[in-house]
Amino acid sequence: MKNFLAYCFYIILSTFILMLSLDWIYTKIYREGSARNKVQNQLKLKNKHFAVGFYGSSRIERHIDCKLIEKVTGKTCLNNGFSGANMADILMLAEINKINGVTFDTIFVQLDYSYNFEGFSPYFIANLAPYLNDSYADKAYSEMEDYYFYKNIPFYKYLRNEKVLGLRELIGIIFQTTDGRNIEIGFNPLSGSGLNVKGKFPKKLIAENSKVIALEKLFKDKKLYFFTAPYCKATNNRESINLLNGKVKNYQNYAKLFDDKPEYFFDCGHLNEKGAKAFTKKIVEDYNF
Amino acid sequence: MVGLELEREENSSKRNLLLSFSLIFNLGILLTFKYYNFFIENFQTLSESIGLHVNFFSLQILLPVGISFYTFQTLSYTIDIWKKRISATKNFLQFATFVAFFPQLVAGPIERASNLLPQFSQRKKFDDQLAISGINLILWGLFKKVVIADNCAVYVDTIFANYEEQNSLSLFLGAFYFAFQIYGDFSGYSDIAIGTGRLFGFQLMQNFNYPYFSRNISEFWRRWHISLSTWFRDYIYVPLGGSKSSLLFTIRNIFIVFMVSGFWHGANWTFLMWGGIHAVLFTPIFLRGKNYKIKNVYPGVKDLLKISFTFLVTCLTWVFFRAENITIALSYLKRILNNGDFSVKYLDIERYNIEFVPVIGFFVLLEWFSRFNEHPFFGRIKYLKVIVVILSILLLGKFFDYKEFIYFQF
Repeated sequence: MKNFLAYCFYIILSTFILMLSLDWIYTKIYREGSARNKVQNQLKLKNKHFAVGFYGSSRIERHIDCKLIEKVTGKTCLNNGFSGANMADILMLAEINKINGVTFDTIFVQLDYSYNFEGFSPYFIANLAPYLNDSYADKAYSEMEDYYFYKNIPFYKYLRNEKVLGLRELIGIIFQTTDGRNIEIGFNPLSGSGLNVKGKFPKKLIAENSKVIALEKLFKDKKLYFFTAPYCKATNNRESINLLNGKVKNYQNYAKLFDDKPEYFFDCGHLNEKGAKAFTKKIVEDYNF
Repeated sequence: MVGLELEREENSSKRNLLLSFSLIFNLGILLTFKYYNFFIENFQTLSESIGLHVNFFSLQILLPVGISFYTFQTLSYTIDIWKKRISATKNFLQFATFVAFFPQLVAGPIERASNLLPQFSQRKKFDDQLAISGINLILWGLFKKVVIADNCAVYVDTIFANYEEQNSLSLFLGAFYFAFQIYGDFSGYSDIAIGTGRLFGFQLMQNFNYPYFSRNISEFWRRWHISLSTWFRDYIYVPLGGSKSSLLFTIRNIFIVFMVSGFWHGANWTFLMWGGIHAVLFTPIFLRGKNYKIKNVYPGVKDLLKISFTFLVTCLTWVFFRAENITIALSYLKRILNNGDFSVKYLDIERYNIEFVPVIGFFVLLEWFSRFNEHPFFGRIKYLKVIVVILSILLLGKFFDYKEFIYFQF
C-alpha cells in the first residue's frame, strides 16, 4: 500500500506542479506575446485615438473597410468587429478600450437579432481568460457556473478553452503568426457571391437590452450611432428588425439597402468585398465624417 | 438458472434444449435492439424492388449501452457450462457482477467466465504492484483517448464530412487519422478498464497488443480486439469445424467468422463489407501457413516493410468502417487514387491537414519502444516518461470538446 500511495502522490504532485508552471507560462505568453486574433489584438491595444470606431460581429468585420474610410475622409478608423460577437462582448470590449486609453470621436455599433442576446459569446470569453486576474475579466467570469475552478485550479482556464487558447495558438504567438485575418485594420472581406440563408430572425425582440443601455451611458459624451447592416431579401422575418426603431436612439436600418443588388452578397447575412466597399461608402456619405 | 440447470442435467437432448433456449433468449434481445430495424429496412427495400409494397413498423428504441459486449459474455458462460469447461455459479450476486462488472461493462474486454468469475469468490488482498500497474494503464489509456483519439477525431470528422472537396493527401490522412482515432479510443478504453479492474485486485484479459506493428492481417487479428477475436475463434470458428475439415469448409468458416465480426460492430452494410475485406485478406495468409506467432524480437528491414504495408492496408479498410455507406466509402477510396493532388491543405477547421502527424509519430515511437510491455512506464526513466505523458495530456488533451468512446455504440 505504501508504494502505491507514494506513486499516486508522485503523479498528483507532478500534475499539480505542471499545471501551475503551464498556467504561468501560458498567461505570460498570451498577455505579453503578439496578438494572434482580432480580440487579442484589441485587448492589447493601448493609448491610441481613432476618429471612427466600429463595434459588432462579423457583420462589421466583413462589411466596414477602414482603409477606404481613411482614404476617402483622411480620418483614422478601427474595425472592432469579430465573428459571433454578442452585445455583452461589445460592451466589455468598449470598456476595456476605455480602460486602455483607446478613444474614438464617433462610434458605430451594428445591431441585429443579437439584440436578443445579453450574454457573452464563447469565443470572446475564452480570449479573456489570460486576464482573469484583472477586474473586468473577473467580472465577466463571475457569472459562469465553473467560476470557482477558473479562479482556483491552475491551468483550468486553458484546458477549458483549448480551442482558442491551446498549444496550437500558443505556438502561433511564439512564431508571431496570425489566424490568417487582418487583425490591425480589422477588415476581412469575403470573396464570392451567393444568397444562402443561414438561420432566421426571431419574430420579436426583447423589451430592452441592458448592454445597449450601458453602451449609451459609456459613450454619452461621444457621437454614438447604431445601425443594421444589409441582409438579403430572402432573410426570414427580416421585418422584425424594424422593431429596433423604437428601442434604440440614433438608429438607422440598412437591412434592405441592397435588395436590388444580389451580386453584393456573399451569403444572406454577409456582403462580399464589392458589397462591403459600397456599404462603407454609403456609411461615409450618410454620416458625413 | 439455465446455467444451473445445464450443470444438473445429464440428458444430452435436454442440455441442448436448455442451451438453445439461452442462445435464442440472449441473441433475441440483441437482434431486437440492434438489428431489427436493419433487417426490416432491407427487407422493405428488397420488397419494393420486386414491386411489393409492404409496410413494416420500425422500432424507435434506444440501444442499451454495451449490449453486444455483455450478451457475448453471458453466452460464453452458458456455452462453457454446456461444454463442461466450467461449473455454474450458485451465487447470483457473483453472476450478476460478472455480467455487469463496471470497468468493462460498456466496451469490454469481453471476459470469459473461467477467468473472471472465480475472481469474485477470492478474498482480495491489496497488491501494491498490481495497483501501480493499474494506475499506469489508466494513465496510458487516458493519453490514448484524450490526446490521440480525440484530436484525430477533429481531422477525421472534417475530412469525411467534406470528402468530395478534399485532395488525395487529405483523404489519405483522413483514413490514417481514423486508424489512430479508433485505436486510441478503443485500446485507451480497454487500458482504463483493465487498470481500474487492477485497482480492485481483478485481472482482466489483454485486449490489444500493439496491432499496428503486425506483419500481416492474420497477425493483426491476433493483436486487435483480442477478447472478441478469440471469442469468435472459440465459439464460432472451432464449433463450425475450424480448419480440420476440407479447404472449402475452412474458407467458409473464415468468411463466416469475419462477416459475423463485421455485423457484430453494427447494423450497416459498411461493417459487413469491412469484415468481408478482412476475410479476403486473411484467407490466403492463413492457408499459406503464414499465420505468424507474435515474436518478441527486433525486426529487420523486411519486417518493417511488412508492418508498413499491413498498416496501409488496414488504414484503407477502416474507410469502410468509418463511412456512412458503401457508396461513400468507394467514392472516398476512388478519389484518393484519382485526385492526384498531394499538396498540404488548410482544412475548414482552420488547421493544416498534416499538422497532427508529428504527434502521431511521437506516439508510434513511444509504442514501438514499449511493445514488449503493456505501457511505456518501465525502465530507468519511467518517472520521466510519466511526466512527459502527463504534460502531453495537459498540453494536447481534449477535456471539454471530447468525443464519446466509439465502441460505446456497439
